[in-house]
This record gives sequence, structure tokens and C-alpha cells, in this order.
Amino acid sequence: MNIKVNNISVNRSGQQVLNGLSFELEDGHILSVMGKSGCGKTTLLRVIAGLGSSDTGNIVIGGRDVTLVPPQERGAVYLYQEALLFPHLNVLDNLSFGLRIRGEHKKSADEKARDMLEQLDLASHAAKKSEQLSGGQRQRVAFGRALLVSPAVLLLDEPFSNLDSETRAAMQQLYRKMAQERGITTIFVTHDLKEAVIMGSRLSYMEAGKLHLYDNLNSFAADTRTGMQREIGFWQSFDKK
Amino acid sequence: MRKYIFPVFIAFMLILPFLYLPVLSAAGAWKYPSLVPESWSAAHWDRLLASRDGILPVVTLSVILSGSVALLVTVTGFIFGRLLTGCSGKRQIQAAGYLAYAFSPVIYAYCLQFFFLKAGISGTIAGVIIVQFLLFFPFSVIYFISHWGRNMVSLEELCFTLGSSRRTAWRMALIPVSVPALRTAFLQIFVFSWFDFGLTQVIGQGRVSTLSLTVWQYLAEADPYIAAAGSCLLLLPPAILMLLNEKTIRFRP
Amino acid sequence: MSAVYRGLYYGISLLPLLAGIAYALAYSLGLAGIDTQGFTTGYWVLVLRSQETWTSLLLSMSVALTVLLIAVPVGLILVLFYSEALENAVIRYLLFLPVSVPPLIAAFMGTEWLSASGMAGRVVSGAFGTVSPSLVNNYWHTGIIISMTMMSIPFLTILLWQYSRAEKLSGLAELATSLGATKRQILFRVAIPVLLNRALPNIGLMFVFLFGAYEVPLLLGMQSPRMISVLIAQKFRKFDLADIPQAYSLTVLYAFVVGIIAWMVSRTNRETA
Repeated sequence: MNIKVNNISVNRSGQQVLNGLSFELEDGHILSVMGKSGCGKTTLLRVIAGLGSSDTGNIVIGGRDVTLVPPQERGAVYLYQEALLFPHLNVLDNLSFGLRIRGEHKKSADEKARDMLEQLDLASHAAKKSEQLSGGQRQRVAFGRALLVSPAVLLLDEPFSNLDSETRAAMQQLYRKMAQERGITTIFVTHDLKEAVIMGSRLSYMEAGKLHLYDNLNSFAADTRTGMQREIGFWQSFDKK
Repeated sequence: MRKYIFPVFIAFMLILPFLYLPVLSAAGAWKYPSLVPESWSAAHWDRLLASRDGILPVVTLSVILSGSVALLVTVTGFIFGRLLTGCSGKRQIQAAGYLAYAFSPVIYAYCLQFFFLKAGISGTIAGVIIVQFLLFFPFSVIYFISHWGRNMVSLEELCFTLGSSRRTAWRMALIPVSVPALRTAFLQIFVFSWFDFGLTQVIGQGRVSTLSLTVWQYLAEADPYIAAAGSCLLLLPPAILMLLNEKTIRFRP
Repeated sequence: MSAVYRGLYYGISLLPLLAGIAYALAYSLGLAGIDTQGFTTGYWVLVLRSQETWTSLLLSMSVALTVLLIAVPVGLILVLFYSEALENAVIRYLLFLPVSVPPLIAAFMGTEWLSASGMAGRVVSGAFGTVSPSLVNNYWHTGIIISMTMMSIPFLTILLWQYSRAEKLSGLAELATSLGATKRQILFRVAIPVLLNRALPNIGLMFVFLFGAYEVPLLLGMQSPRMISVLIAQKFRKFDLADIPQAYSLTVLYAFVVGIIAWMVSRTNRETA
């Protein structure tokens, strides 16, 4: 579903974290959000998820104004670095958790969870507890759990930052593929320039409580704040040598 | 091997006096300065089991009382721990908890005695449960505030964004995840209550006879043999609980 | 909403205690209680001028301090030099088992072992053929100190052991070694300061517990001087009506001391900051 954020402001103990922030993201797109630490990226995601409130403005998901809707009914799942698997459940039950709490029958929930396990390439781990999985596997389960409830919007707060570079690359591919197949609108916060470009079908940069969306990769690259020119310059310097 | 001598020696010294309890409770004649009893006898145990109205009602009352206190304090502590997580003024919350928790139970009981008398619950089981609840509640809240750290709150939020109501989130995720912490708190408070002497003595006014008080009575009557038998009963549950839950149980000096 | 929850928490955890102390204060000033003659500072003058009061407070503090001065070093030695043995679950269980012993039984064991005809006396008599002096109910309060130390050692050892793991002490020691520190320097400049700093709030709490201990001094102490909890409880139990207001003034005095220590403890607790 498309998402529309209008004039959101958040003031926390005298500090203007979000300052009249607005943007619109079309259905099925992945928006990469870059920005310095503490620029309000996490606050933005939490406000969209309904886990934090804003002082002004409104949020519209799929044509429905959800500004005052509790997080349970927004259809926006928020994930961050930690996979947050339930330690008392095995992998299969973790996956089906979202369906079960929505009242879905155990049998059909388990069936869907098994399907998801196949897609995540985790079929042999169904009965394991979360502490028996690697970081990448845990993160995959967390994704699967979120995808199974077919969220309207997925909010990802640096989900791969705890992973090693190889696992990270594999996760980027996997996530991009699965999100595109399902057409899930995603907002993806990252510090990593390369990751932002790989993951995002739209690119943006956040600064001073505002979000700037770029029309295309060229305009993103042309903006010095994104650090892309510096990166290109670095690699070109090898050519000159 | 040298690495083990000192710790084993200390452990031995600490435990030795308590190995003595079952020996004393089963001693027949034991004259000074003999190191072991000259004869053995089941008489003290017989006396304990047959004494007054029998020890069984006392043990039953103690189990029910400590169980109720532990259940009440654990559940309220768990809920308050959540309610106070993220609240400002954590330092004051903790200081208030410490103040109440560190207070000498017997003096605490004397402080409250007037109010309990006025309320007509002095000398009743309900009165003893309430006074123990009041003293152990801050401990439980402080314990659960640390349990409800960032991770637990994140889990709760995750449940919400996955579409769960607050009720379902607690029932299907937060309570099951917290089972180990809840068990530890329950056992800990059970032991506090099981050992309590000062609070029950003052608020119970001699009308609520728990096992601790009964053992005290034997000591006051200078009857160490039967007191030793009673002490064995008193020590049994905590020792088992310790075995089940090593390293988590603490005591109040 | 959070203000309501905080209010409720304070209402349950602090209000009864404060109400009790307020009542104690009122009683000690002649403003409450049976047979009250109206406002008077007479009981307070009596209590504050009585040598018994100050001896009792001083005695309670000295006992608590002595116990900690023995138990903390023993705990440190066990944790710092015998960590390998503590990794053994059986040794740990045996060492920590006495934590589950109530003070009442510790006191009982004190009388059974430390009195002249107790087990310790039997051992001395068997080994040296002499009569051992009684270590309980004596002027130096040795019985109380020994019993309370034996109860405190397991508790402090558990605490320090958990902190040594939480603070990754072995890693810090390796780091210090790689920076050129000697074993002695690691011990005195790294390990002990790190552990004590972390454990300080709990050691402070221990002090308050020991200061207000009741069962052990009740059974193993002398008729006079008595530790503060015992003194107060006995004054409450006397039938002389003048003793009760004095017991209440002592209660207020005790609460004041505990309040100061609890405040200091909460200031040293960096976990809450």
C-alpha cells in the first residue's frame, strides 16, 4: 500500500527531532533512508508504526488516516537490528506467532510457516530454539515472521547492521526478492551507502528533522551530503594511480 | 588440587554446623565432652510430630501463608515492574524500595502494629500476609524493573506491530518469556516469607504459629533436641529450592 | 499516567513505613497512644541522654562493620584466586547452600557450637583437655560476629562472583597484562576496584541488614549492651508504660540512620543513574 506522511513534527525534551516532515511513497516501493546518527530516523519509523506519537501532522496508509490508530491495527511492522525471537518458542512457532495472535487456526498457521521456512531456506531448523541459530538465521526468521502477517508497510531500522558482510549481502538479496514478490511497501533505514543503493527503489536523505526524496540515483549521487561523490572519488583515485 | 582446598574448606566450615542439626535431632544421650552422641533415638522426632496440636497444621499453615505471600508479591511486582519501566525518577523509585526493603522487619512491624490493631487484622493470618506483602513488595518491583529492560519492552512493541492486542501479547509472549524470572521471584519471596520471624511474631501476636515461630518457642523453652528436629523441617524447602534454582536465591540477614 | 503508577508504588512501598514512623514520632512526643499526657520532649531527652542508646547504635554499627571487614575479603579471595573451583557446580552449590539458612537457625547453631559446652568446646576439650571459653553472650560479641559472618560470606561470594562474570574481569586482566601491568597491579588497580565499585550498593545494603539484625543478637547477645533491633523490641515488650514512648523514639532514631544509609546507597548505585 502507498504511504503518505504529512507535516510530522516531534519535539523531545526541547529538541526538534522531526520538523514538519512530509513524503509520499508509492505502493510496493522500498525507500532507503540515509542520514547521520541521531537525525531522527528511528523516531520517524516509530511514529509511523504507532509506537511513538507526533505533535503535528498525519499519516495515511493505503488511503486510511492512521494517525490515531493503535499500532495493532496499522498493519505496519517495525523491525530493528535485533531479531527479537521469542526465546520460549521454536523457529516454527516464532514464524507462526503473528498469525496465531490474529486468531488463525494452528494447523493453517503452521502450514504457512512451513512454506515460509522453505523460502527462507531454514526448513531443517524448524524445531530449533532461537539461541541455536546464527545471527543471519535469526534475522531471516524475524523477516519471515513479519512477512507472514502480510503487513501494509514494513519498517526496517538498520536490520543488517549486526551481520558480517557476506551474510549481509545474502540478506539484502533475499529481502529484496521477497519484498518485490509480495509487493510490500518498505521503509529501510541504513547507514551503509552501498546497502541504501542496492535495497532502495527510492532513495532519500534525512537531515534537521526533514526527509529529502531524490527523483533518481543521479540526483542522489549529485547531492554531496549523501557521501556518494566522495565514495566515487575514492575508487577513481585508484584509476589515476 | 591446591586450587580446591580453600573453597572446600570454607564450604565445609559453613555447612558443618548445619549437618549437626539432623545429628542433634536424632541424638539420645550426648554428654559433654563426647564428640558424637552415645546413643541414638527417634524420641525427639516423635515428640515434634506429636507435640501440642501436632506439627502438621503448623507446616500446612506456613506453606499456605508463604505460598500466598509469594504469589501476591510476585504478580504485583511483575505488573508494577512493567508499569514503572520507562517512568522518570528511577533513582527515587529504587531508593524508596531499598529503604523499605532494608528496614529491620521487627521494627517495621512495631511501626505498623498500631494501624493493624485499628484495622482489626492484628493477630490474624490476613494481617501477617499483608505485612509481609508490604515489606517484600518493593524488592519484587525492583527485581522486575530490571527484568523489564529494553528487550522486553521491544518484544511487547513487536507483538503490537504484528497485530496483537495487549492481552494477547501478555498471554502468548510476555508471560511465557518471563516464566524463569517469575519462578525465581516466587521462590525467593517464598523463602523470605518462610524464614520470617520478626513480622509474624509482632503482627501475628502469637496467634499465627508458623514453623519459624514454633522453632523459636522450642529454643525459648531450652529444648534444643526438638528445636533441631523443627529446624530440619524449616531448612528442607529452601535447600530444595536452592538446588532447583542455584545462584538466584538470596537471604535477609 | 506514569505519575499515577509511581504514586501507587510509593503508596504501597513507602507510605505505610512513613505513616508508621510518623506515628512513632507522635507517640514519642506524647501526642498519641494510651494514657497520653500531651506534648512532651521528656522521652526524647531520656533516650538521647541515655548511654544505652548510643552504646547500642555504636555496637550495631561496629558489629556490622566487623562482619563486612571479614566477609568481603574472604569473598574477594574466593572469587579472585579460586575462580576455577567456583566453576565447579558442586563446590558452588555447597558454598552457596548456607544462603538458604534463616537467621533464626544460624542463631541456634551459634548457641550450639560456640557456647562453652558446645561443639567447639567439645573439640577443644578433646584436643587440648582444657575447657573452652564461651564465645556467645560475651562482651566482644564474638558469637554474633561469627554467626553473621558465616551467613554473609556465601551471599557476598555469590554477589562478587556474578559481578566478576558480568564485568568480564578475566578479559580486563588480560588487557591490563598486555599493557604491561604486573599481577599485583592487576589485583589492586583493576580487579578489586572493579568488583568493589560494582558491589558497593549491595555491600551498603548488607550493612543496613546487619545493623538491624534481630534473631542472631537476640539469641547470642548479652543482656547489655544490646544491638538496636533487640533493644527496641525489648522496650516495646516491657509493661512499663514509659518504655513504649522511648521505644518509639528509638524507632525514629533507627529509621533516621537507615534513611541516611539508604540514601547514600542509592547515590552510589550507578545502575540506576
